Amino acid sequence: MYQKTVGLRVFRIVGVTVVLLWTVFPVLFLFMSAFKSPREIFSFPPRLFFRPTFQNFIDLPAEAPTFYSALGTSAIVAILASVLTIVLAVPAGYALSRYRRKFLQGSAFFMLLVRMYPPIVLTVPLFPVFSALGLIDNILVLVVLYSAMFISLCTWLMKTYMDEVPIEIEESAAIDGANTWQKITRIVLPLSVHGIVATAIFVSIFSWKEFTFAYIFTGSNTQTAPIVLDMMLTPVTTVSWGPLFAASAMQLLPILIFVWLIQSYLIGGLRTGGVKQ
Amino acid sequence: MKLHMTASRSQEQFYFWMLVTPCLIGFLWFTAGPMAVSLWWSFTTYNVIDPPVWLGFDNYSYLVLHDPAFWPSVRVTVVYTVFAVPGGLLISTAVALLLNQPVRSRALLRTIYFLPTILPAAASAVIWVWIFSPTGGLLNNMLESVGIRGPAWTHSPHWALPAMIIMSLWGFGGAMVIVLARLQDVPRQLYEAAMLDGANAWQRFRHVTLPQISPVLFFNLVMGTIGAMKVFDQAFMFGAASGQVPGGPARATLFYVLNLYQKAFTYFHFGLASAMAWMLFAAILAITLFNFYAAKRWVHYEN
Repeated sequence: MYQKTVGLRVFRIVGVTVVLLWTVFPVLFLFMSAFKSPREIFSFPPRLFFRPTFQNFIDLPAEAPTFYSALGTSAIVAILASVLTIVLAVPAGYALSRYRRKFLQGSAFFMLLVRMYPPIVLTVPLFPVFSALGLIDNILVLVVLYSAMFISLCTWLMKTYMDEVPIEIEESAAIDGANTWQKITRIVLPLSVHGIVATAIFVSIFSWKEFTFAYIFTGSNTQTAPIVLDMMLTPVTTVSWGPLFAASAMQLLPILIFVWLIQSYLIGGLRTGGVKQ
Repeated sequence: MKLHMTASRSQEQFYFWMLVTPCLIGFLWFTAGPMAVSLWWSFTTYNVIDPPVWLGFDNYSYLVLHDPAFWPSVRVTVVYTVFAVPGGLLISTAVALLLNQPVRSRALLRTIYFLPTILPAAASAVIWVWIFSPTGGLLNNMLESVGIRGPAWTHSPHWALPAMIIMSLWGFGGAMVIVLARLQDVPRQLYEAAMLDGANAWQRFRHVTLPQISPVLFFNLVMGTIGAMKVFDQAFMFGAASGQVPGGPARATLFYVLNLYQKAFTYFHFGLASAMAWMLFAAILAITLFNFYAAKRWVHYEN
């Protein structure tokens, strides 16, 4: 059916390559620069082959003493936020999937509405409250905020995964005497576990890289990695590009791995609340 | 189905609310509640230390009539939106069409193209500030090798915003993935029928592909516009990285939300910041509703 002319094939190959260069090269440069000496980072044309050095990683603590602990804080926040979100979203998703389908009519627009206000808008009213409660510089604030931010999206995702578990299985379990709790833990959860794990990873990625809330609600004790990166990018004197690239590479790597693991689910998540339900 | 349900109606209601309540509390406490509070504050003057004092519409009129930063920040956001949204729509659709062709390792390419969308704003800023470095940056070195003297990008009042628009076009992947998924759902028969009718490639695109993907193009338009009006992280880091205050140089990257941030957290005018937040929300709502209205003319839904 397709006209396999040479011209069209060449066009495709060139097109795919150009887009590949546009998307991949900046990331590739970041990782390569992490292992380059400061002088090589700015050499032109940029060298694709060079002698890798770990000097930037060794110099990093001197440039940004808090980076490694910030990386740890980021990890803790990401894990706790995804656990809390899932713990709240699973029951709610189950309830929406099984009990009240009418509750959801018009929810697509509601999902859109939730995504319409910028996160910064929430920080304005929350900041005075949290500072009055002495909760600034406490990682639990970030955990709760990230969960609140993702709860509606994740509940929706849970609902769609659980919709795929046939209700007949639950009904036959009910006949065998299973109560609601058992139906959820023994049947629905095991059958939708892939979706749940993907959603947890999804929340982890966004908590790991979130900037706005972290910038406003953390202090010196609870800096997350993006905050330290921002500080390194905007120093009083000059930017130490070597250590900065090393730090950025370490922040990026887990995301690359996670994206790889859940690529097919990510696309579903992106479309959620979209036109096509 | 009802026959099989063992739980009674009231039991079912009880379970429903028991399961949904924690989620609802979280939402009300951290989303609806704060929004209501900020609506109230938008009519007051409030500096966090002293209790809010009622002002009526003074914050709104001050912003629109007197505030020196308000209109510049609106302008920056509008310019950015006007270029970044159609640009992103165009690139994401073009790349999706490309990947919809018979290309090898489509799934791998799709994931790679998607990556920039999900990278942290901080790491992206590091990469792009380095690329846009006025002296010795990758982009200006490349321009110089073909005989063009590049502008100062991040340090130039005229080029800082275009630099941010270019950076935004890097993250076309999310929208692209959505278009591609829809493209692959387009029924083959439609193309076959069009070919039997003698439609050429352009006609097939114009009368089959485009109507079929119009719902996702619409979705991308709405989400892209909302996203562009909310820009903060990138603007914050990008502006500050040029060795100046966020929003620099010379307010060239003072996005609306960045201005809002400064009103609240630099100057502690929480009333003004809340008024800005509600004006933004109203603007986003209005534009989204307009998009929905305009969609009737060009978006094609099945049945």
